[in-house]
Amino acid sequence: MSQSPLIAVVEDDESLRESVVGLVRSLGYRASAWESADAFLAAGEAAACDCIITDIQMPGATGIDLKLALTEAGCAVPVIMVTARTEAALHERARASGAVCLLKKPFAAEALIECLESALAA
Amino acid sequence: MAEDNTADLLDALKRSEHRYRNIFQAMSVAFWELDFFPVGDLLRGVRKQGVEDFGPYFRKNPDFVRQMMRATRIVDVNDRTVALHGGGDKARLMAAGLDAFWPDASLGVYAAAVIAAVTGKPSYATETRLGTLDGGEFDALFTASFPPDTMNKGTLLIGVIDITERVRAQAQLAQLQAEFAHAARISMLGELTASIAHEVNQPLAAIAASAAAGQRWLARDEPDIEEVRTLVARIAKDAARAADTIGRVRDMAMRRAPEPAALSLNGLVEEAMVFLRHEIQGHGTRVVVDLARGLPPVLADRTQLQQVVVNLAVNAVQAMGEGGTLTLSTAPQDGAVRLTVADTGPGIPEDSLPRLFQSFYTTKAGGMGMGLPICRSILESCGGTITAANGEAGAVFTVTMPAAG
Repeated sequence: MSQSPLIAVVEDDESLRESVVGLVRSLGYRASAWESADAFLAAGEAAACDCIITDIQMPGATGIDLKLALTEAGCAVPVIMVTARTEAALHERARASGAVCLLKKPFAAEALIECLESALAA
Repeated sequence: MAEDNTADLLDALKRSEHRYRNIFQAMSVAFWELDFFPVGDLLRGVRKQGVEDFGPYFRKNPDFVRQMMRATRIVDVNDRTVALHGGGDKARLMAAGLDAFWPDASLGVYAAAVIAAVTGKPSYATETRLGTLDGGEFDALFTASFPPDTMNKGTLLIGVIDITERVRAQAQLAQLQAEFAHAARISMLGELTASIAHEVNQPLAAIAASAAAGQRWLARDEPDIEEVRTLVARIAKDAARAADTIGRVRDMAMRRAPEPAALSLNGLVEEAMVFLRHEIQGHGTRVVVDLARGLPPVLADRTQLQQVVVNLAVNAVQAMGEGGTLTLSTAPQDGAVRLTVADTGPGIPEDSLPRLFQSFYTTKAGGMGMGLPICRSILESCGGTITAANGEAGAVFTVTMPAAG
């Protein structure tokens, strides 16, 4: 494969979505942007992706719902989750669902880059 | 027979006069019996100069108003007047003359009383400030009555009631209401802390990501300036957004005197939805915003009216728990503007409806019972109203406010 890895960014906040897409592109990867987990799942693009960066709390399906749906469909694309929520129970559920990384907003860009690189290397 | 009648009449007149004197002396109202006759000469003099409308003339010539006062003779005062204005010394009070008890700021009240008298009004009453012999001032309810029979003789009666305590109590009440409104905003902000943190964190995360991306584009062998330009613009936008959120929170948390301004109710509703975006999302609430176009502005303090909209929306979101639909609509209504906040929650129990706007009445666990009373007092202070009812699906709150003229 000569094409660079494709990263899906699922985030309902337009400004943050665009910024993360920008960061991903600056790393030399391709990026696709989605404003909800439902839209992303409906498009059936998951299998084409090398990694998914998703917010947890969004209108409709959450990032955790997204990961569970992928697992159920037998899709093992690594999922990095991002959240502004601080509840321990939510973090626990995120980890239990199989997220490779859980980042708390506001996250350091370096932390996201590290997560992304280790997810792609795996 | 005729002489008997005259004696009876005289007797009746004496009794009436005696009764009047008793009332005059015994009332807790300070009474002044004034001889207005010399003022009539002054007014006729002015009229001869071609002045037809006394109002503007009095405003332009405060010295003339003073002159009328000095010409007004004090016929008699009662004990209450001596105590209130004269420090207990009737002789000094009578000698000082009416002029001594009128602060400059209250000259207009005397002028208005004169105008009322000459235009045949039966009486004139207003709240003002009057003076005392020792140079003090107090808040007074001033009443002048011009009964036609005594007016012919040139005498009139002025009643003064000391309302210092009432004015002070009103000021205290207003301050208390302001403090409660402030406390309620702080308590609401506390409830919304997670949402506010989210609203700030979001742009901060975006800024961090954009900055890191910019560094990478610049670090390339051939730096991509176009990419960086886009990123820097995005950073500026996100920084402004974070500052905006902080500014809104600070306005809400600050205690300051209300500053009424012409506001767009639609704009306020939209802002409130931005403010509550996270709260709404956290509850999975569906929001329907139906704003009428071309609404006239309303006159209110921005932060206070924002508090009303946010409060009603938060109540609705919390009443519905998970899910539900929150509908905010605006509409014009006979020179007024109407805002309706409807939810699809359990509604308001019928027996709670009459008490909903009473202080400390709450149906929420951990509620303070101040949100709705404060909404009502905010709205009433700008001539608006708020009502609660049960709609087809849940609770419906209707706010009306007069259009700013």
